This record gives sequence, C-alpha cells and structure tokens, in this order.
Amino acid sequence: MNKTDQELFEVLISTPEGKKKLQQIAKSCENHYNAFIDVLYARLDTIFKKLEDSRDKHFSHDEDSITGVIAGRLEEAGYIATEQTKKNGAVDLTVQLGDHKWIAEAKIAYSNSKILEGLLQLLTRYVTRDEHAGLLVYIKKNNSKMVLEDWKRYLEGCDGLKSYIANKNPEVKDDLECILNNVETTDINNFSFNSKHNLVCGSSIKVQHFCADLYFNPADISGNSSKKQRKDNAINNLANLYFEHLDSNNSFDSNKCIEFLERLFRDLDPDDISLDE
Amino acid sequence: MSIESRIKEYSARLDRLAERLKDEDSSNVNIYRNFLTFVSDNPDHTYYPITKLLTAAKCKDANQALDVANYFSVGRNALLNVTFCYFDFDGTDIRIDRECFIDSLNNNTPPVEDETGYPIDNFEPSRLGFYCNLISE
Repeated sequence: MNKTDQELFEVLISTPEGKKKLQQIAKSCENHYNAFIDVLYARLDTIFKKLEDSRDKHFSHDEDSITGVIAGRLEEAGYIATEQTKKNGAVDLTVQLGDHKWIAEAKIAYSNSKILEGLLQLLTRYVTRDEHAGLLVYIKKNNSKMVLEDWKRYLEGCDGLKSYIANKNPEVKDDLECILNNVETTDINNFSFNSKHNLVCGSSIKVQHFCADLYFNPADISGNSSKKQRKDNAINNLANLYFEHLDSNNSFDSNKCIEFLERLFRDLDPDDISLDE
Repeated sequence: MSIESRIKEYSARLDRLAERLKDEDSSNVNIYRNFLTFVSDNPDHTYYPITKLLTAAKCKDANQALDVANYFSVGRNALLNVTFCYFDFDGTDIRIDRECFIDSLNNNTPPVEDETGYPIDNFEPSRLGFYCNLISE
C-alpha cells in the first residue's frame, strides 16, 4: 500500500465507519464527561454487534463470561475496564478513561423481574454521584425485539411492576416507588433505549439499556444435529420457562417443560448418571 | 512519566488484554504489540503520521491504524499525542483544533487555521486528518 497520509484519510473519510472512528478519536481527546459518555455508548454499540457475531459461543456462556468479553473489547478500545469492582457490593462492569468513570450491571433476560433486580442493584447500591449508568441485557431466547419492548413497557409502569413493588418488604417500598415511578424512556435504536430515574438522594440519573441478542438455534443440518447445541438450548429454554413462570400468574406449562427435558436427556442412559458431574 | 515506563505499562496492559480476548476470533492485540515493539526499537522516532502507524504496527488497512492511534493516545499515561490537521493542496499540513476538526468532519465547514485564525481557503473535507507525536516526558 503506497498511499500518502492524505490519501489514507481520504479513504477513511469516504466510509461511514472510518468517519465515525475519526470523530470518536477527536472526541476522546476531549476531557468532557458528555463526550466520554457519547463515545463510550457508540463503542458499546459496536461491541454488542460484535458479540452477536459470535453468539454461537456466547449463547452457552454465563453472565460474567459475557461481561468479561465486553470488558476486554473496551480495553481494546483504550479504556480501563474492570469487573466485579467493590462499591457497596460488586459492580459488574466499571469503565474508566482519564478522570471519568461509568458503571453498569449485567443481566441475562430470563424475565422482567430478573432484569429489574439488576437495575435495582445499580440504582440502590452502586450509583452515587453518577449522571449516567448502564444495564447490559443478554437475551438468550427468541424474539429479542419483543423481549426488549416488553421490558421497556414493564419499566414504564405496567401491572407487573406494580405487583413487584407491592410484594417487596415495606422498608424498601418508598425507595422503590421513588426510583420506579413515572420512568421516562427514550428509544435509541432497536437494541437500546434509555430510562430516566429519580434517585432516593434527590438527583436523577439516565440509564442506557444495551441489549445483545445471543439466541442461537441454527436450523441447518450440522447445527440441527449438534448434541451440544441441543443440550445448551434445552438448558436455556428450561431456565427461561422457570423464571417466566415465576413472573406470571399462569399455571406452569409442564408440556413445554417435558419437551425441553426430553431434548436434554434424549441420549442419556439413566444407569450412567453420576452426581459428581 | 518516562517513555520507557509508559511502554512498560502498555505492555502489561496488553498482556492482560491478550488473556481476556484469547477465545475471541479476532483482536488488535498483535498490531498493538507490533507498534510497541517498533517504538521500543526506534527511540529516535517521535513523529508518527498515519502511514507510519500503519507500517510500524503492521496493520492490514487504515482502519486498523486508527485503532492504534486511538489505543495509544487516550487515557492517563498515553504514549501518543494526536494533532489534527488539514493536508493542503500545496503539500503542507495546517494545524487545526479538535473542535474545528469535528465540526468540519460533520458539517463540511471550513476549519480555522490554528496559526492565522482564518478559515482555510478552497476547503475539501477529504483532506482532513491528523498525525501523532510520541509524548515526551
């Protein structure tokens, strides 16, 4: 490649990706908190897309492993990213650049109340003077679009949320009502939105919800015949079924449960079961 | 902080990064290491335009060279300092400030020359760019 500096930049500026990266470099040189947040969110968006490109692996990974990869990708982009940092508990992800810091909690989207637990950890334990924070939502079931829309509706104050608050201990109800009443949400794109909350201390905070669609269920011959794929899917489906049941008032779908158990134990000889495994 | 200490710090960070991304299909760890080796082996080199970033880090394209510039220029104890510029038609590099650079990139507005305070004549957005310098102690 024998291009001059100007010719290389000309190539970069002619593509949306190159132009975006140049803007990010210029903004990163600025020591302003808002510029830090803007660039961080753009980078996380790219990282989440990359994560979905490897969902064949991440589908069977746990929450901490997936967050670990995100932390690695942020380090690759120049940030200091740490996991399980102590701050009134263990924050899932802490990102630092120069004087600025941002924290996020991660959750697998088994059910709305599970995701809400993550949000409450973030808002009632970890945030202090933060103006922005993040919720990383990993979706391992089909129809991620509906999962995200359903979570947003839940947060905006559906009956499910009211019953969640009603079932909590009286000593935290006032705080929950402060944080979860009249939540304003704004769509960013199909995979992220932000929500604004009033904190118990009186200030407010914006939480960016980043979602990764990690559902993986290939229907081609090699995917369909993979034993590991079938078992991983069955375990995920069982977990989803169980946690969704806890959130709903409907009776347990035992037919579905049997169907998933059959997929899990299809090749198993009961005589070979070892409790050590 | 000396250049040697900065290189050492980056080297330790890259070891941690390599461990974190070891199961991922691709990463920039190797090109970052190549760049660090080049800087260590060539202490007299301080000026790093994008063509040099590209060859020093053995990048496959200009996009990767941007990643190198970004990785080594952000945060505390950075190794590189980025200067934004305009590559004029006569071959000179005109310094412009960061805000002008962003504005020109987004809105195609002529940037203001740092030295004269006047907008650049016959501005052509594709001639915007930057170069890096090794941060001195």
